[in-house]
Amino acid sequence: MPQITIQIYLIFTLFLIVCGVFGVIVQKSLFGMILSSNMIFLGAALNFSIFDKFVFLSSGEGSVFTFVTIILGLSSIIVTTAFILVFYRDYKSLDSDLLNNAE
Amino acid sequence: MNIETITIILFFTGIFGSLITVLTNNHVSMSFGYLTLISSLSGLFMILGNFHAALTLIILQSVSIVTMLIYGISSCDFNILIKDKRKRFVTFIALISSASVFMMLTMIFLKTGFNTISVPNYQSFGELLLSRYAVLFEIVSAVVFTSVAGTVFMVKRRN
Repeated sequence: MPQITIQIYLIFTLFLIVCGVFGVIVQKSLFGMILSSNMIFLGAALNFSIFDKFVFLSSGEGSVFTFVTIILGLSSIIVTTAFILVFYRDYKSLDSDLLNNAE
Repeated sequence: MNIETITIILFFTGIFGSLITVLTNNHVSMSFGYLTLISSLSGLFMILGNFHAALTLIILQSVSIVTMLIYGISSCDFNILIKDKRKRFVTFIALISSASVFMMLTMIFLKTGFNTISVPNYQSFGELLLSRYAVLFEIVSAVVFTSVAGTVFMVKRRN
């Protein structure tokens, strides 16, 4: 079994971030867009942990920023939940194209 | 099963979850794909030694996504998902994979007992967080509090 190096972890996080960006561009639903943007957050959080483990040899600094990034992603989910709820009440749909007509 | 095999399994599960999240169009499949992704990511955090991040991810994000899903189901037309057989199959597969990864992680954790994060010169992660990064911690707490309060205010006002 090959050794799991930092490069393999970084390829995985790159895949996550690219998937997130792709989702934000392609998805039409607000729900899908927020999940995709959270994938970008998670990729960044995983990068902090990886560099803390492999480069800074578990000094704990990267773990703090991982924690902060996850909590910020969580806050964005909370706010977007309310936004989706209000949006759906007004438009009876979650299609983001309707936002172009919003006043 | 050694640690490299587990890591590779978690990589593939994460890739599977992220693809389900991005490529499907119904909200239930997206949610379960995302739950699969965060289950695998929390396993990776455990392997990297960041146990607090794994706990935060698996508890808080799962709860928030499930809450969001309940909002979605209660406000949207859920019957569309049940009638369409192809969407029902994707939802079922995503549910099974998410549950199995979560159970696998729990068993791995119970059997091997990965070490929690060890921080040099500090007794625990909490001590590091509250001594060197107290201001950052306060700012993040304020952001979370503001978002929750703003959410409650926004929804209540529209009612």
